[in-house]
Amino acid sequence: MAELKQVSFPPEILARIAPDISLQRHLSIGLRPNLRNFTEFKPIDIASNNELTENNNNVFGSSVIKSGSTTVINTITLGVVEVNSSTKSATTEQLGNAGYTTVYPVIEIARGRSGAPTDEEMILSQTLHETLLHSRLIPKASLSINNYGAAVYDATLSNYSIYYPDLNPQEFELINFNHSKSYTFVLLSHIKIFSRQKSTSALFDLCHLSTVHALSRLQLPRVYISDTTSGTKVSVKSRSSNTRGLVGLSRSNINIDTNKELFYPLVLNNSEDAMVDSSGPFDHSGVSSNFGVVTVADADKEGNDEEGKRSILLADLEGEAEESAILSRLSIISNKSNTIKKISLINGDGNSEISLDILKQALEIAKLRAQQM
Amino acid sequence: MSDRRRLIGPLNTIIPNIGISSNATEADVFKGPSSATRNEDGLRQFFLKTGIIENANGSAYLEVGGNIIQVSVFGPRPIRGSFVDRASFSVECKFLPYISQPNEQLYNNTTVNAGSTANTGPTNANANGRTGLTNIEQKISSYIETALLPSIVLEKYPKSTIDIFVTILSTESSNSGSTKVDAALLGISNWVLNCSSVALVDSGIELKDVVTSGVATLKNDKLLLDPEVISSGEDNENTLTCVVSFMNLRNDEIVGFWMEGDQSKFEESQVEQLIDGCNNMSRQVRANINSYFTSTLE
Amino acid sequence: MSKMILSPAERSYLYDSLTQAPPIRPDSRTDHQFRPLEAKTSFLPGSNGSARIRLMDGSECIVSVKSKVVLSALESSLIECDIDVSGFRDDSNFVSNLKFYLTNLLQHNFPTQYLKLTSRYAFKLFIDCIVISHSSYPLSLISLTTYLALKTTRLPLLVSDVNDEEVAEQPTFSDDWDNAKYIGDFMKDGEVFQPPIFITLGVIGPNLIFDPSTEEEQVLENGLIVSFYGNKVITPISNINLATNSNNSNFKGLNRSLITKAMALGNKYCPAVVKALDTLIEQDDEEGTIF
Repeated sequence: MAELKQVSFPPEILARIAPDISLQRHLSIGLRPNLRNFTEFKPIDIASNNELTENNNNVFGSSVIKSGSTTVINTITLGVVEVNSSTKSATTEQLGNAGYTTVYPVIEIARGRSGAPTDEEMILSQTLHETLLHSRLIPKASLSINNYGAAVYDATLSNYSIYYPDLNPQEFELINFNHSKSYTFVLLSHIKIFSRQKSTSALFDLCHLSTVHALSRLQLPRVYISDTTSGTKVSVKSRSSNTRGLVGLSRSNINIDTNKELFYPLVLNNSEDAMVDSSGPFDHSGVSSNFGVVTVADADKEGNDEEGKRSILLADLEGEAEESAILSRLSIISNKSNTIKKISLINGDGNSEISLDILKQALEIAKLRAQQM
Repeated sequence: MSDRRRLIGPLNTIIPNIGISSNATEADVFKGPSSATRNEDGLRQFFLKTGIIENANGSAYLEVGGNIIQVSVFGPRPIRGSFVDRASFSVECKFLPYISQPNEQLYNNTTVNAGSTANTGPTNANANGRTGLTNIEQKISSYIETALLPSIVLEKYPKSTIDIFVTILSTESSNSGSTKVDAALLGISNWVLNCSSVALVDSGIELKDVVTSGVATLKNDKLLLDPEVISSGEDNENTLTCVVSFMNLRNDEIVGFWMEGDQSKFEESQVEQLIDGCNNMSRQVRANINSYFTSTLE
Repeated sequence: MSKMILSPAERSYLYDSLTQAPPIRPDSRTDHQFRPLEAKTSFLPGSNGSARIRLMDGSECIVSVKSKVVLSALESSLIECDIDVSGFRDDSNFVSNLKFYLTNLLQHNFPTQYLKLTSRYAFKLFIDCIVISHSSYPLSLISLTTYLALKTTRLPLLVSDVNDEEVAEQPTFSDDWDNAKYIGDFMKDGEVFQPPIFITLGVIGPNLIFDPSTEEEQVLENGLIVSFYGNKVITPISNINLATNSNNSNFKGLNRSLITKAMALGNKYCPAVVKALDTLIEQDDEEGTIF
């Protein structure tokens, strides 16, 4: 009978073929595969320059965030949608949840394949969309467009001038301006993630951070209406596969004034101040932290129960081993005033359940982190 | 109108046109010539970094003037199906959705709304929901593919595929969606190719040589290397622009050639002049790339 | 459209014969000879202009030109092209690039001033190409068919006032189709209307061959696309890998002298191509039939 020899694998290979074993081995000696402490978060760098917004006149807010080698680039562009003027009369408090709106994110993870959005991308976008809505960050009133300007062609100067009812009242009165529709802005966000390091929960945290940061730097422009001789064309369904399922182009006469002096910041969370808070962008919206719970079996450690197992809380999951072996997850959004904006708990693994102690520990860590951001 | 897989906004969202500025002094003013320094031969400084994308086999990041380009190389990756004796090679180049692509009004079927008086805006469709590549992206992709194909030793990687993904994060001519200047499109193709070559080196795939590229403009008999798109008033009159890509160590053989321009006077001597200029530029780029790699290996 | 896979022996044989001086081509053409073609024009009743070219191997392309009166201010360009190649998706790289080439060529080299009707209105031409079947790279085929279609395009005659600066007036046209004019008729004396064309050249060894066939494309070292307009070679000029549906193992870089040689050859032989197309139109006397 042939002898069976023991095969050993280097750590990276073991992590891929037997991630649970790799993780157990690391944890039993008190380490994580990514060499962080159990409750340590990966450091995040937020770029302070505003190059993307400055270089592109259709980008009104942007953010670039790096964590390890993962880079998240977020750009916010604007759309415009017609509103029913009757709904504008109610105040934000009266409307409750309906008084708030959110961002429409499209998340793309650069993964070396082109094609339809993956489940992961779709889930991240939807979760982000809903989280921002329920955190009541953006009141609908902040996005409504008022004081439409009018573009008038001056034959002597042979160019157009724009007049606003509030800034140029005398000139505006002379213009025959009949525009009865009301519009509001729609925030369209595009997030591109480079070099992701294999954890969806951590990606959500980064996307949330990135969106809030971009919103805090968002500047809204003034809008003017140009003359309506061109008329509006009804959108046509395009045959070309490039716009599969999407309707083609519709012409409109709504224009954005590129005058940067007239840009105003987005008013968030019903506060009187321009920015979210005086101190920082994450104060109201909160910071998202992700955790995982895993059970380690080591017979001779103290604090174990009779079966020799103990539950460990790991913060900020990263890496193939952690991502595939840890099925019980927590996601907590906490803000500076210690309000918990969102909790998500998943008990994915019968062996590693989230106990009350674990939950308390996670909440404390999340709150502390929100304070420090 | 709805794409069920993406959140592209409420059903009747319109993208407003980017109009003019109500501030008369600000109207139509460009950033002006960038402060990027040029050396005696006219080449701009560029910033290069490799190995930044962990899940790709090779990657490179290039910044020059207002252009920011990121390239990831994936491969050799196995392919399913029957045996092929050489690797298949593909290039996919994408701009970030909101960036206006050079000459896009001509090639990308974007419409112009006369109500938008300055016609500077990007496409009126919601770019976030865009699937597939635009015509300009396809053209750049095929230029890169044609130029890099001769340099890769495909026979060493049977039954595999090598894919290059290019993301253009920013272009110089971003704010001039109406630009008709050839230098915009040819210039960005030039730098995308240089960046892709570096990413290929970073990936460790066997190459016959590193492809480098130069772009030059001949305007009113004046040769300008690495032209910049400065103002929106520029046009193509009396201009010949071309991007030429070489394998410098293989006798400067030309792997990529793309010439555009105004053809009122078009002679062989001008073509020679342009090719020489591009060759000059490509050699300098190569020298810089060489020194980058030797310094990072230390 | 047959997928051409050559055996190593065939490739080697072809390569060796094509690198001779002068090159020996399998169909015994000279290096500057185009493949014989059959063409017909003005057979689509619903289009202002139409043309069809068919090659001996079955490759076929039909181009239709239709016009529409538009407000010049609203349009970014007065010519719009669309290409449909059977067997390929509209958003594939292959078709997108063909569209890019054709659009690029026509945008820069078309006398659009003759499409203007009044100060406000102009004709916009919509050029639709269908490549029903192709074996070699179809760009040259498409551009020659487009040449024929544009040359035989007739536009209705304007009868309303040309000057509408003061009074906005919609243009009106003569009801009699016999009054419709060819685009070339609008041009001044001495000028002839000759739309631009593309020619494809194959690079192999020291040789350049015109209009490479499918087998030849498989063994080429490189390819060049050269444009011709106004009786001379113009831009865009670019190199291209013509063997798109198979992996061409011979593909390599080209020597710069070949580029200037290609321009010289273009200047020398393309006038004959244009002349042949013009003659074809003159001799095409059966109106309305497609065969």
